[in-house]
Amino acid sequence: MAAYIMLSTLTDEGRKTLKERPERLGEVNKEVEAMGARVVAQYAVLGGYDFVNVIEAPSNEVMARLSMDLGSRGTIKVTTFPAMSIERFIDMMQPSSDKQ
Amino acid sequence: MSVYVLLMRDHSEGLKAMKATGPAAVQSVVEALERWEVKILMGYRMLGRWDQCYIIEAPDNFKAYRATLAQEMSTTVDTEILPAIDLPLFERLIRQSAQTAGPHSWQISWWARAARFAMYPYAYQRWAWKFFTEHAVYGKKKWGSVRAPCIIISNHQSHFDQFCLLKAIPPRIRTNLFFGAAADRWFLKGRREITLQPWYQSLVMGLYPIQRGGGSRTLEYPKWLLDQGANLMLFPEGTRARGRHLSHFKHGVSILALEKNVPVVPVYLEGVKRIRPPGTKEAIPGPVAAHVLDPIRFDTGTSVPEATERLYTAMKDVHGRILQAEGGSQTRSRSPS
Repeated sequence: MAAYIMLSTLTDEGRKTLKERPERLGEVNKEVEAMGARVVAQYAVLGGYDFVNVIEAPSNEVMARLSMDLGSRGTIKVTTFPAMSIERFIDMMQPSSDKQ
Repeated sequence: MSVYVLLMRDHSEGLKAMKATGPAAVQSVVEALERWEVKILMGYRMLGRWDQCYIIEAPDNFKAYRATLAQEMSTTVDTEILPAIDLPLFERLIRQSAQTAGPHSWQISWWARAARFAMYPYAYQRWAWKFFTEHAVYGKKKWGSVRAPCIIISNHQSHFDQFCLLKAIPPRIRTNLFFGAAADRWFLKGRREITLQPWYQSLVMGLYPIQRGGGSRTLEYPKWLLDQGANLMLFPEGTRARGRHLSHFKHGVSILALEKNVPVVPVYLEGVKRIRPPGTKEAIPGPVAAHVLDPIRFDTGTSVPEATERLYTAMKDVHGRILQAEGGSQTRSRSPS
């Protein structure tokens, strides 16, 4: 499974929905899992975004479908970044001679 | 500890350094963050507008900001730090109303006092049994001269202070004792749990709400309680102390004591902070002690600042001796009172 960072911002409609039905937050996670992805960590944040999600998904295609599906509801705007763990990145940066 | 999301974008200088030094450049970022009391929970390298994303824990906003500033000053990255709230807590916060309830004047009635007496082992004593491996009370005899109504004051170190304190107070005072508590924390409407209901706080825990920043109006209800012969418990520092120092006292206690001519009993609590310091959720069992100091009654004509200073001096004196004893032997101090 590959990692993705999804930064999301609520729309006006999304804020209304969340205020009326806070349990939607948990329901969305179940829907994400039904699409074959997994929410690793999720935070509500202050600043330029409303939520930061760390998601694992099998491929870019699954993640693209997920982003499209979530965005199509009109409640959030999402920006998704492919990501890799820092440990893997450090490993990748090692010269190939060091790895052997 | 609070959680933050730290987004980073590498400068061209940062990319050059990464090319030149390889993984050491990334590791140096991680080490630099950790040097500034920040703990990294997760770290990711990203493709797109941001290059790195860290989920970090820091003691407070200032320390998180200081750590990111140190990163920026190293001239290799631009940063954006977002204070984060874990989602279950966020969901609970949305459900909550900002409206508060209380005060409930029925809390001084005979049946409320009987209920509090009956619930005392459940509400308070079980925590003392669970988390205080030793509970010493010094100066117990000083309660002998204390008659209701009175005001008990204490240093504020932890949410466990009242458990330590109540155990040091005789039942005749304890069953008619009321604590001031922040309305926006303990008296919020709309919570689900029974133990978080405003009526539960009034009935079982003996709390009454204090509106933060409410000015002199916040003293109306405690004055009424004293008029009814009830005892008050107040933390004159206003909030839990974050360091080892004793914060300056607010004037509320002095105003009440002078206007209602009631004695003030200072009780210094020792060791409670080690059990559950501010900002933590887990409690670690340990020994605690309560030092009951001489009751203070103010003469007519004493000004509010003078009274506050006298209360502060009494507590500061014991505080200083205990800190000195702790520093000298690293063992628990014996009664300095």
